Amino acid sequence: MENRQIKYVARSTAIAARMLDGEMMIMSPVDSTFFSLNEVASAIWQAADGQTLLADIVDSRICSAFGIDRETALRDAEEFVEQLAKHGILRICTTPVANTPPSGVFHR
Amino acid sequence: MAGRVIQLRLSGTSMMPTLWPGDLVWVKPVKVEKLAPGDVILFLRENRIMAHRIVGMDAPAGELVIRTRGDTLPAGDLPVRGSEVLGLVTAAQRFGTGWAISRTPRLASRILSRIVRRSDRFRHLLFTLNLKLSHNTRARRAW
Amino acid sequence: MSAVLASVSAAADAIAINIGGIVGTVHTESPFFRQMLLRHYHDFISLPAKPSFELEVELLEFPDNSDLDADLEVRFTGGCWHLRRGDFSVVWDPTSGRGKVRQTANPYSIDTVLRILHSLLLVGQRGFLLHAASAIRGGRAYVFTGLSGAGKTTISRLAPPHVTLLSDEVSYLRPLEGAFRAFGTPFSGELRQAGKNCAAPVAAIYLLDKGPQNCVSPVTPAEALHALMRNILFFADSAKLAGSVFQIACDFVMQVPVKRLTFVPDEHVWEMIG
Repeated sequence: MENRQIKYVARSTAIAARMLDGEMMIMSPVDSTFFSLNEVASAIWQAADGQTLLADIVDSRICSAFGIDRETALRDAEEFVEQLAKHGILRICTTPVANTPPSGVFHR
Repeated sequence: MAGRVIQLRLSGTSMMPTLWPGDLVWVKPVKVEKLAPGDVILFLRENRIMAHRIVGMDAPAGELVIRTRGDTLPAGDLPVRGSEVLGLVTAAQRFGTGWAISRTPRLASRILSRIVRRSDRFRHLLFTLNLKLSHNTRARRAW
Repeated sequence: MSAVLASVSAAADAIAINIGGIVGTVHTESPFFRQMLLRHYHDFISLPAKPSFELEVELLEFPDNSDLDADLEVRFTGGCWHLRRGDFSVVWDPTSGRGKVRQTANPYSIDTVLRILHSLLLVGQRGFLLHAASAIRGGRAYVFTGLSGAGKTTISRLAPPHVTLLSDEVSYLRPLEGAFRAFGTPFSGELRQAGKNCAAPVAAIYLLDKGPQNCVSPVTPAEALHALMRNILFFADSAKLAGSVFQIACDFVMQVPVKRLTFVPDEHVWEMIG
Protein backbone atom coordinates (compact mmCIF):
# COMPACT_ATOMS: atom_id res chain seq x y z
CA MET A 1 0.00 0.00 0.00
CA GLU A 2 1.46 3.31 -1.05
CA ASN A 3 2.26 5.78 1.70
CA ARG A 4 0.48 8.88 0.60
CA GLN A 5 1.33 12.22 2.08
CA ILE A 6 -1.35 13.82 4.20
CA LYS A 7 -2.83 16.51 2.03
CA TYR A 8 -5.18 19.29 2.97
CA VAL A 9 -6.37 21.49 0.14
CA ALA A 10 -7.51 25.06 0.55
CA ARG A 11 -8.81 27.68 -1.84
CA SER A 12 -6.32 30.48 -2.27
CA THR A 13 -7.16 33.92 -1.00
CA ALA A 14 -7.58 36.71 -3.54
CA ILE A 15 -9.16 34.40 -6.09
CA ALA A 16 -12.35 35.75 -7.58
CA ALA A 17 -14.79 32.92 -8.22
CA ARG A 18 -18.38 32.55 -9.34
CA MET A 19 -20.57 29.70 -10.46
CA LEU A 20 -22.15 30.35 -13.84
CA ASP A 21 -24.44 27.76 -15.32
CA GLY A 22 -22.79 24.83 -13.58
CA GLU A 23 -19.22 25.89 -14.31
CA MET A 24 -16.95 27.56 -11.85
CA MET A 25 -15.38 30.70 -13.27
CA ILE A 26 -12.17 31.65 -11.57
CA MET A 27 -9.93 34.62 -11.94
CA SER A 28 -6.62 35.04 -10.28
CA PRO A 29 -6.31 38.80 -9.90
CA VAL A 30 -2.68 38.34 -8.99
CA ASP A 31 -1.68 37.30 -12.46
CA SER A 32 -5.01 37.99 -14.18
CA THR A 33 -5.43 34.53 -15.58
CA PHE A 34 -8.91 33.22 -16.11
CA PHE A 35 -10.11 29.65 -15.87
CA SER A 36 -13.29 27.75 -15.97
CA LEU A 37 -13.59 24.50 -14.04
CA ASN A 38 -15.81 21.68 -15.16
CA GLU A 39 -18.16 19.86 -12.78
CA VAL A 40 -15.65 17.58 -11.14
CA ALA A 41 -13.05 20.33 -10.83
CA SER A 42 -15.72 22.59 -9.34
CA ALA A 43 -16.62 19.90 -6.81
CA ILE A 44 -13.05 19.80 -5.59
CA TRP A 45 -12.87 23.59 -5.50
CA GLN A 46 -16.01 23.83 -3.40
CA ALA A 47 -14.80 21.17 -0.97
CA ALA A 48 -11.34 22.71 -0.55
CA ASP A 49 -12.02 24.37 2.79
CA GLY A 50 -8.56 23.82 4.20
CA GLN A 51 -9.88 21.49 6.89
CA THR A 52 -10.60 18.43 4.79
CA LEU A 53 -8.10 15.90 3.55
CA LEU A 54 -7.99 15.47 -0.22
CA ALA A 55 -8.56 11.77 0.26
CA ASP A 56 -11.79 12.51 2.13
CA ILE A 57 -12.95 14.92 -0.57
CA VAL A 58 -12.41 12.25 -3.16
CA ASP A 59 -14.28 9.65 -1.07
CA SER A 60 -17.27 11.81 -0.29
CA ARG A 61 -17.63 13.90 -3.43
CA ILE A 62 -16.08 12.10 -6.34
CA CYS A 63 -16.14 8.33 -6.11
CA SER A 64 -19.82 7.72 -5.60
CA ALA A 65 -21.05 10.81 -7.41
CA PHE A 66 -19.11 10.03 -10.54
CA GLY A 67 -18.85 6.26 -10.19
CA ILE A 68 -15.07 5.89 -10.07
CA ASP A 69 -12.88 3.59 -8.02
CA ARG A 70 -11.01 5.17 -5.17
CA GLU A 71 -7.45 4.47 -6.33
CA THR A 72 -7.99 6.01 -9.76
CA ALA A 73 -9.86 8.97 -8.41
CA LEU A 74 -7.30 9.73 -5.74
CA ARG A 75 -4.39 9.48 -8.16
CA ASP A 76 -6.08 11.76 -10.66
CA ALA A 77 -7.17 14.15 -7.93
CA GLU A 78 -3.63 14.54 -6.66
CA GLU A 79 -2.33 15.27 -10.13
CA PHE A 80 -5.13 17.70 -10.66
CA VAL A 81 -4.70 19.70 -7.45
CA GLU A 82 -1.00 20.01 -8.26
CA GLN A 83 -2.08 21.75 -11.47
CA LEU A 84 -4.42 24.07 -9.64
CA ALA A 85 -1.72 24.82 -7.07
CA LYS A 86 0.73 25.70 -9.82
CA HIS A 87 -1.69 28.36 -11.01
CA GLY A 88 -2.17 29.66 -7.50
CA ILE A 89 -5.79 28.60 -7.27
CA LEU A 90 -5.43 26.05 -4.50
CA ARG A 91 -2.96 25.59 -1.71
CA ILE A 92 -1.78 22.16 -0.65
CA CYS A 93 -0.63 21.70 2.95
CA THR A 94 0.25 18.91 5.31
CA THR A 95 -1.72 20.53 8.14
CA PRO A 96 -5.18 22.09 8.19
CA VAL A 97 -5.34 25.65 6.88
CA ALA A 98 -7.31 28.37 8.59
CA ASN A 99 -9.04 31.35 6.96
CA THR A 100 -9.96 29.75 3.72
CA PRO A 101 -12.14 32.14 1.75
CA PRO A 102 -15.67 31.10 0.70
CA SER A 103 -16.11 29.24 -2.56
CA GLY A 104 -18.22 31.87 -4.27
CA VAL A 105 -21.12 29.52 -4.66
CA PHE A 106 -24.28 30.94 -3.19
CA HIS A 107 -26.97 28.51 -2.25
CA ARG A 108 -30.35 30.17 -2.35
CA MET B 1 5.21 49.27 -51.18
CA ALA B 2 7.88 48.33 -53.69
CA GLY B 3 10.92 49.38 -51.71
CA ARG B 4 9.95 52.95 -50.94
CA VAL B 5 9.52 54.72 -47.65
CA ILE B 6 6.11 56.30 -47.40
CA GLN B 7 4.59 58.84 -45.07
CA LEU B 8 1.11 58.57 -43.67
CA ARG B 9 -0.94 60.66 -41.34
CA LEU B 10 -2.42 58.71 -38.45
CA SER B 11 -5.82 58.88 -36.88
CA GLY B 12 -7.11 57.17 -33.75
CA THR B 13 -5.74 57.04 -30.23
CA SER B 14 -4.93 53.34 -30.02
CA MET B 15 -1.17 53.93 -29.92
CA MET B 16 -0.98 56.72 -27.35
CA PRO B 17 1.33 58.04 -26.04
CA THR B 18 3.82 56.82 -28.60
CA LEU B 19 1.76 57.96 -31.56
CA TRP B 20 -0.93 60.62 -31.52
CA PRO B 21 -3.76 61.29 -33.94
CA GLY B 22 -2.47 63.55 -36.66
CA ASP B 23 1.12 62.33 -36.39
CA LEU B 24 2.94 61.85 -39.64
CA VAL B 25 4.66 58.46 -39.67
CA TRP B 26 7.43 57.08 -41.84
CA VAL B 27 6.93 53.52 -42.94
CA LYS B 28 9.63 51.48 -44.59
CA PRO B 29 9.27 48.11 -46.27
CA VAL B 30 10.64 45.26 -44.19
CA LYS B 31 11.27 41.55 -44.41
CA VAL B 32 8.87 39.97 -41.93
CA GLU B 33 11.62 37.73 -40.55
CA LYS B 34 13.36 40.85 -39.30
CA LEU B 35 10.38 41.95 -37.22
CA ALA B 36 10.25 41.41 -33.48
CA PRO B 37 7.91 42.13 -30.57
CA GLY B 38 7.97 45.83 -29.77
CA ASP B 39 8.03 46.91 -33.41
CA VAL B 40 5.14 49.05 -34.62
CA ILE B 41 3.95 47.77 -37.97
CA LEU B 42 1.53 48.94 -40.59
CA PHE B 43 -0.85 46.28 -41.85
CA LEU B 44 -3.97 45.92 -43.87
CA ARG B 45 -7.12 44.86 -42.09
CA GLU B 46 -10.52 44.85 -43.77
CA ASN B 47 -9.80 47.75 -46.10
CA ARG B 48 -8.25 49.75 -43.31
CA ILE B 49 -4.62 50.44 -42.69
CA MET B 50 -3.66 49.96 -39.05
CA ALA B 51 -0.53 50.78 -37.11
CA HIS B 52 -0.21 48.62 -33.99
CA ARG B 53 2.59 47.14 -31.96
CA ILE B 54 3.78 43.55 -32.27
CA VAL B 55 3.22 41.70 -28.99
CA GLY B 56 4.11 38.21 -30.16
CA MET B 57 5.14 36.15 -33.13
CA ASP B 58 4.96 32.47 -33.83
CA ALA B 59 4.65 30.02 -36.66
CA PRO B 60 2.21 27.33 -35.48
CA ALA B 61 1.71 25.69 -38.86
CA GLY B 62 4.94 26.81 -40.48
CA GLU B 63 3.48 30.13 -41.60
CA LEU B 64 4.41 33.21 -39.60
CA VAL B 65 1.60 34.69 -37.53
CA ILE B 66 2.04 38.05 -35.86
CA ARG B 67 0.01 39.15 -32.86
CA THR B 68 -0.48 42.88 -32.56
CA ARG B 69 -2.29 45.23 -30.23
CA GLY B 70 -2.85 48.94 -29.99
CA ASP B 71 -1.08 50.16 -26.84
CA THR B 72 -4.29 51.59 -25.38
CA LEU B 73 -6.58 48.73 -26.33
CA PRO B 74 -7.57 45.98 -23.91
CA ALA B 75 -7.35 43.06 -26.31
CA GLY B 76 -5.09 42.16 -29.18
CA ASP B 77 -6.06 42.19 -32.83
CA LEU B 78 -6.95 39.19 -34.94
CA PRO B 79 -3.64 37.62 -35.98
CA VAL B 80 -1.75 39.26 -38.81
CA ARG B 81 -0.24 37.16 -41.58
CA GLY B 82 3.13 38.03 -42.99
CA SER B 83 1.46 38.87 -46.29
CA GLU B 84 -0.71 41.54 -44.62
CA VAL B 85 2.26 43.52 -43.30
CA LEU B 86 2.80 46.73 -45.23
CA GLY B 87 5.89 47.95 -43.43
CA LEU B 88 7.67 49.01 -40.26
CA VAL B 89 6.93 52.36 -38.64
CA THR B 90 10.36 53.85 -38.12
CA ALA B 91 9.75 57.48 -37.25
CA ALA B 92 7.04 59.97 -36.52
CA GLN B 93 6.62 63.71 -36.65
CA ARG B 94 4.34 65.96 -34.66
CA PHE B 95 4.19 69.73 -34.90
CA GLY B 96 7.40 69.81 -36.85
CA THR B 97 9.42 67.71 -34.40
CA GLY B 98 10.42 64.24 -35.47
CA TRP B 99 11.70 61.25 -33.56
CA ALA B 100 12.55 57.64 -34.23
CA ILE B 101 10.19 54.87 -33.17
CA SER B 102 12.24 52.27 -31.41
CA ARG B 103 11.42 48.76 -30.45
CA THR B 104 10.14 49.41 -26.95
CA PRO B 105 10.01 46.35 -24.75
CA ARG B 106 6.54 46.38 -23.27
CA LEU B 107 6.00 44.39 -20.14
CA ALA B 108 2.98 42.11 -19.98
CA SER B 109 1.69 44.33 -17.21
CA ARG B 110 1.62 47.36 -19.46
CA ILE B 111 -1.78 46.88 -20.94
CA LEU B 112 -4.86 48.81 -20.06
CA SER B 113 -7.08 45.94 -19.28
CA ARG B 114 -5.61 44.03 -16.39
CA ILE B 115 -8.57 41.74 -16.20
CA VAL B 116 -7.38 39.06 -18.53
CA ARG B 117 -3.77 39.06 -19.35
CA ARG B 118 -3.12 35.75 -21.03
CA SER B 119 -6.24 36.32 -22.91
CA ASP B 120 -5.99 34.53 -26.17
CA ARG B 121 -7.13 31.19 -24.93
CA PHE B 122 -8.69 30.81 -21.58
CA ARG B 123 -7.95 27.58 -19.86
CA HIS B 124 -10.64 25.11 -19.26
CA LEU B 125 -9.40 23.01 -16.40
CA LEU B 126 -10.68 19.54 -16.64
CA PHE B 127 -10.47 16.85 -14.15
CA THR B 128 -9.87 14.04 -16.54
CA LEU B 129 -10.62 10.58 -15.35
CA ASN B 130 -10.10 7.53 -17.47
CA LEU B 131 -13.64 6.37 -17.27
CA LYS B 132 -17.19 6.91 -17.45
CA LEU B 133 -17.97 10.57 -16.89
CA SER B 134 -21.30 10.52 -18.57
CA HIS B 135 -23.62 13.34 -19.47
CA ASN B 136 -25.96 12.16 -16.78
CA THR B 137 -23.67 13.02 -13.93
CA ARG B 138 -25.85 15.92 -12.88
CA ALA B 139 -28.76 13.61 -12.28
CA ARG B 140 -26.58 11.07 -10.48
CA ARG B 141 -24.89 13.49 -8.16
CA ALA B 142 -24.83 12.43 -4.52
CA TRP B 143 -25.31 15.94 -3.15
CA MET C 1 -0.16 65.27 -1.73
CA SER C 2 -3.00 66.86 0.17
CA ALA C 3 -1.20 70.21 0.07
CA VAL C 4 -1.47 70.14 -3.70
CA LEU C 5 -5.14 69.33 -3.60
CA ALA C 6 -6.01 71.80 -0.87
CA SER C 7 -5.56 74.58 -3.38
CA VAL C 8 -7.97 73.00 -5.83
CA SER C 9 -11.40 74.32 -5.21
CA ALA C 10 -14.53 74.15 -7.28
CA ALA C 11 -14.28 77.05 -9.66
CA ALA C 12 -17.42 78.81 -10.73
CA ASP C 13 -16.59 78.47 -14.40
CA ALA C 14 -15.69 74.79 -14.26
CA ILE C 15 -17.24 72.69 -17.00
CA ALA C 16 -19.43 69.83 -15.83
CA ILE C 17 -19.48 66.69 -17.95
CA ASN C 18 -22.16 64.09 -17.24
CA ILE C 19 -21.51 60.63 -18.63
CA GLY C 20 -23.72 57.75 -17.58
CA GLY C 21 -25.13 59.76 -14.71
CA ILE C 22 -21.69 60.35 -13.20
CA VAL C 23 -20.77 64.02 -13.24
CA GLY C 24 -17.23 65.35 -13.22
CA THR C 25 -16.11 68.97 -13.46
CA VAL C 26 -13.02 70.24 -15.24
CA HIS C 27 -11.57 73.65 -14.66
CA THR C 28 -8.80 75.35 -16.61
CA GLU C 29 -7.31 78.82 -16.77
CA SER C 30 -6.90 78.53 -20.52
CA PRO C 31 -9.81 79.87 -22.58
CA PHE C 32 -8.57 77.89 -25.57
CA PHE C 33 -8.61 74.61 -23.63
CA ARG C 34 -12.00 75.49 -22.18
CA GLN C 35 -13.41 76.02 -25.67
CA MET C 36 -11.95 72.72 -26.75
CA LEU C 37 -13.66 70.94 -23.85
CA LEU C 38 -16.99 72.60 -24.60
CA ARG C 39 -16.73 71.56 -28.23
CA HIS C 40 -15.52 68.02 -27.60
CA TYR C 41 -17.98 67.13 -24.83
CA HIS C 42 -20.76 69.24 -26.25
CA ASP C 43 -23.72 66.85 -25.77
CA PHE C 44 -22.50 65.83 -22.34
CA ILE C 45 -22.07 69.24 -20.76
CA SER C 46 -24.41 69.58 -17.80
CA LEU C 47 -25.09 71.40 -14.58
CA PRO C 48 -22.37 70.70 -12.01
CA ALA C 49 -24.83 69.09 -9.59
CA LYS C 50 -23.12 66.75 -7.12
CA PRO C 51 -19.95 66.03 -9.07
CA SER C 52 -18.14 62.80 -8.27
CA PHE C 53 -14.87 64.42 -9.25
CA GLU C 54 -13.55 67.94 -9.69
CA LEU C 55 -10.43 68.36 -11.75
CA GLU C 56 -8.11 71.29 -12.10
CA VAL C 57 -6.13 71.11 -15.31
CA GLU C 58 -2.73 72.69 -15.42
CA LEU C 59 -1.48 73.03 -18.98
CA LEU C 60 2.21 72.54 -19.55
CA GLU C 61 4.31 73.61 -22.47
CA PHE C 62 6.25 70.35 -22.29
CA PRO C 63 5.13 67.13 -20.59
CA ASP C 64 6.77 66.81 -17.20
CA ASN C 65 7.36 63.12 -17.63
CA SER C 66 10.89 62.50 -18.81
CA ASP C 67 9.79 59.31 -20.56
CA LEU C 68 7.30 60.48 -23.16
CA ASP C 69 6.61 56.92 -24.12
CA ALA C 70 5.86 55.75 -20.61
CA ASP C 71 2.93 53.39 -20.34
CA LEU C 72 -0.08 54.02 -18.19
CA GLU C 73 0.09 53.51 -14.44
CA VAL C 74 -2.92 53.78 -12.15
CA ARG C 75 -2.02 53.30 -8.50
CA PHE C 76 -3.58 54.04 -5.16
CA THR C 77 -1.15 55.27 -2.52
CA GLY C 78 -1.32 57.73 0.33
CA GLY C 79 -5.09 57.98 0.03
CA CYS C 80 -4.99 59.16 -3.58
CA TRP C 81 -5.13 57.68 -7.03
CA HIS C 82 -2.06 58.46 -9.09
CA LEU C 83 -2.51 58.29 -12.83
CA ARG C 84 0.54 58.61 -14.96
CA ARG C 85 1.37 58.20 -18.63
CA GLY C 86 3.93 59.76 -20.99
CA ASP C 87 1.54 62.60 -21.74
CA PHE C 88 -0.12 63.36 -18.38
CA SER C 89 -0.03 62.96 -14.64
CA VAL C 90 -2.94 63.14 -12.24
CA VAL C 91 -3.39 63.03 -8.49
CA TRP C 92 -6.98 62.41 -7.42
CA ASP C 93 -8.40 62.11 -3.93
CA PRO C 94 -11.53 59.93 -4.07
CA THR C 95 -12.72 61.12 -0.67
CA SER C 96 -12.87 64.82 -1.50
CA GLY C 97 -13.37 64.14 -5.21
CA ARG C 98 -10.71 66.69 -6.09
CA GLY C 99 -7.85 66.13 -8.45
CA LYS C 100 -5.14 67.87 -10.35
CA VAL C 101 -4.21 67.09 -13.94
CA ARG C 102 -0.94 68.13 -15.57
CA GLN C 103 -0.79 67.77 -19.32
CA THR C 104 0.04 69.65 -22.50
CA ALA C 105 -2.73 71.39 -24.39
CA ASN C 106 -4.35 68.52 -26.22
CA PRO C 107 -7.75 66.81 -26.06
CA TYR C 108 -6.51 63.20 -25.90
CA SER C 109 -4.92 63.24 -22.48
CA ILE C 110 -7.95 64.63 -20.66
CA ASP C 111 -10.12 62.15 -22.55
CA THR C 112 -8.05 59.26 -21.20
CA VAL C 113 -8.19 60.75 -17.69
CA LEU C 114 -11.97 60.88 -17.87
CA ARG C 115 -12.17 57.25 -19.05
CA ILE C 116 -9.97 56.16 -16.16
CA LEU C 117 -11.89 58.08 -13.50
CA HIS C 118 -15.21 56.79 -14.79
CA SER C 119 -13.90 53.23 -14.80
CA LEU C 120 -12.87 53.61 -11.14
CA LEU C 121 -16.15 55.19 -10.10
CA LEU C 122 -18.19 52.62 -11.99
CA VAL C 123 -16.87 49.80 -9.81
CA GLY C 124 -18.75 51.32 -6.89
CA GLN C 125 -21.87 51.47 -9.05
CA ARG C 126 -21.50 47.82 -10.17
CA GLY C 127 -20.89 48.99 -13.74
CA PHE C 128 -18.02 49.02 -16.21
CA LEU C 129 -16.63 50.44 -19.44
CA LEU C 130 -16.42 48.03 -22.35
CA HIS C 131 -14.46 48.21 -25.57
CA ALA C 132 -17.61 47.90 -27.61
CA ALA C 133 -20.01 49.76 -29.85
CA SER C 134 -23.55 50.24 -28.62
CA ALA C 135 -26.74 51.60 -30.09
CA ILE C 136 -30.41 51.97 -29.24
CA ARG C 137 -33.15 50.61 -31.42
CA GLY C 138 -36.78 50.46 -30.43
CA GLY C 139 -36.01 51.70 -26.94
CA ARG C 140 -33.53 48.89 -26.24
CA ALA C 141 -29.74 48.97 -26.33
CA TYR C 142 -27.55 46.52 -28.22
CA VAL C 143 -23.87 46.17 -27.49
CA PHE C 144 -21.25 44.88 -29.94
CA THR C 145 -17.88 43.86 -28.66
CA GLY C 146 -14.91 42.45 -30.51
CA LEU C 147 -11.31 42.93 -31.47
CA SER C 148 -10.02 45.75 -33.60
CA GLY C 149 -11.13 45.06 -37.11
CA ALA C 150 -13.92 42.75 -35.94
CA GLY C 151 -16.48 45.32 -36.95
CA LYS C 152 -17.48 47.68 -34.13
CA THR C 153 -17.10 50.79 -36.22
CA THR C 154 -18.43 49.02 -39.31
CA ILE C 155 -21.62 47.92 -37.59
CA SER C 156 -22.03 51.45 -36.24
CA ARG C 157 -21.68 52.89 -39.74
CA LEU C 158 -24.17 50.38 -41.16
CA ALA C 159 -26.88 51.24 -38.65
CA PRO C 160 -30.21 52.29 -40.19
CA PRO C 161 -31.36 55.89 -39.65
CA HIS C 162 -33.70 55.15 -36.74
CA VAL C 163 -30.89 53.64 -34.68
CA THR C 164 -29.27 55.94 -32.11
CA LEU C 165 -25.55 55.43 -31.71
CA LEU C 166 -24.27 55.48 -28.13
CA SER C 167 -20.61 54.93 -29.03
CA ASP C 168 -18.56 53.11 -31.63
CA GLU C 169 -15.74 52.32 -29.22
CA VAL C 170 -16.39 52.69 -25.50
CA SER C 171 -19.68 51.49 -24.09
CA TYR C 172 -20.86 52.53 -20.65
CA LEU C 173 -22.79 49.87 -18.79
CA ARG C 174 -24.28 50.16 -15.36
CA PRO C 175 -27.31 48.73 -13.58
CA LEU C 176 -30.17 51.00 -12.62
CA GLU C 177 -33.16 49.59 -10.74
CA GLY C 178 -31.73 46.11 -11.17
CA ALA C 179 -31.29 46.14 -14.94
CA PHE C 180 -28.16 46.95 -16.90
CA ARG C 181 -28.45 50.05 -19.05
CA ALA C 182 -26.13 51.28 -21.78
CA PHE C 183 -25.33 54.98 -21.81
CA GLY C 184 -24.03 57.16 -24.62
CA THR C 185 -20.47 58.40 -24.28
CA PRO C 186 -18.33 61.05 -25.93
CA PHE C 187 -15.59 58.41 -26.20
CA SER C 188 -15.36 57.60 -29.87
CA GLY C 189 -13.10 55.44 -31.95
CA GLU C 190 -12.62 55.82 -35.65
CA LEU C 191 -15.97 57.43 -36.13
CA ARG C 192 -14.55 60.36 -34.22
CA GLN C 193 -18.00 61.45 -33.33
CA ALA C 194 -19.50 61.46 -29.89
CA GLY C 195 -22.48 59.26 -29.22
CA LYS C 196 -25.87 60.58 -28.20
CA ASN C 197 -26.32 61.39 -24.56
CA CYS C 198 -29.10 58.95 -23.79
CA ALA C 199 -29.59 55.47 -22.39
CA ALA C 200 -31.68 52.34 -22.64
CA PRO C 201 -31.88 48.90 -20.99
CA VAL C 202 -29.52 46.41 -22.61
CA ALA C 203 -31.40 43.80 -24.62
CA ALA C 204 -28.40 41.76 -25.77
CA ILE C 205 -24.69 41.80 -26.29
CA TYR C 206 -23.15 40.45 -29.48
CA LEU C 207 -19.63 39.09 -29.83
CA LEU C 208 -18.56 40.17 -33.29
CA ASP C 209 -16.95 38.07 -35.96
CA LYS C 210 -16.78 38.63 -39.68
CA GLY C 211 -17.86 35.83 -41.94
CA PRO C 212 -19.39 34.93 -45.30
CA GLN C 213 -22.94 35.29 -44.04
CA ASN C 214 -24.94 36.95 -41.32
CA CYS C 215 -25.70 34.60 -38.48
CA VAL C 216 -26.41 34.73 -34.78
CA SER C 217 -25.31 31.78 -32.68
CA PRO C 218 -25.40 30.99 -28.97
CA VAL C 219 -22.42 31.30 -26.66
CA THR C 220 -21.67 29.44 -23.41
CA PRO C 221 -21.51 31.44 -20.18
CA ALA C 222 -17.77 30.74 -19.96
CA GLU C 223 -17.17 32.06 -23.49
CA ALA C 224 -19.37 35.04 -22.77
CA LEU C 225 -17.54 35.89 -19.55
CA HIS C 226 -14.16 35.47 -21.15
CA ALA C 227 -15.06 37.67 -24.14
CA LEU C 228 -16.43 40.29 -21.81
CA MET C 229 -13.43 40.35 -19.53
CA ARG C 230 -11.03 40.63 -22.45
CA ASN C 231 -12.80 43.80 -23.48
CA ILE C 232 -13.46 45.51 -20.17
CA LEU C 233 -11.53 48.74 -19.82
CA PHE C 234 -10.01 48.63 -16.40
CA PHE C 235 -6.79 50.34 -15.60
CA ALA C 236 -6.07 50.16 -11.89
CA ASP C 237 -3.30 48.15 -10.35
CA SER C 238 -5.53 46.66 -7.69
CA ALA C 239 -6.24 42.97 -7.24
CA LYS C 240 -9.22 43.78 -5.03
CA LEU C 241 -10.86 46.04 -7.61
CA ALA C 242 -10.10 43.52 -10.35
CA GLY C 243 -11.97 40.94 -8.28
CA SER C 244 -14.95 43.30 -8.02
CA VAL C 245 -14.94 43.89 -11.76
CA PHE C 246 -14.94 40.12 -12.27
CA GLN C 247 -18.06 39.80 -10.12
CA ILE C 248 -19.73 42.67 -12.00
CA ALA C 249 -18.95 40.96 -15.31
CA CYS C 250 -20.52 37.74 -13.95
CA ASP C 251 -23.64 39.71 -12.95
CA PHE C 252 -23.85 41.07 -16.47
CA VAL C 253 -23.54 37.65 -18.11
CA MET C 254 -26.26 36.30 -15.82
CA GLN C 255 -28.65 39.08 -16.73
CA VAL C 256 -28.02 39.96 -20.36
CA PRO C 257 -28.24 37.47 -23.27
CA VAL C 258 -24.85 37.05 -24.96
CA LYS C 259 -24.74 35.85 -28.55
CA ARG C 260 -22.18 35.56 -31.29
CA LEU C 261 -22.85 37.63 -34.40
CA THR C 262 -20.98 36.61 -37.49
CA PHE C 263 -21.59 39.13 -40.20
CA VAL C 264 -20.93 40.26 -43.70
CA PRO C 265 -20.23 43.98 -43.70
CA ASP C 266 -23.50 45.04 -45.29
CA GLU C 267 -26.59 46.78 -44.01
CA HIS C 268 -28.59 43.54 -43.79
CA VAL C 269 -26.76 42.68 -40.57
CA TRP C 270 -29.12 44.99 -38.71
CA GLU C 271 -32.02 42.71 -39.63
CA MET C 272 -30.45 40.08 -37.34
CA ILE C 273 -30.35 42.35 -34.33
CA GLY C 274 -33.10 42.28 -31.79
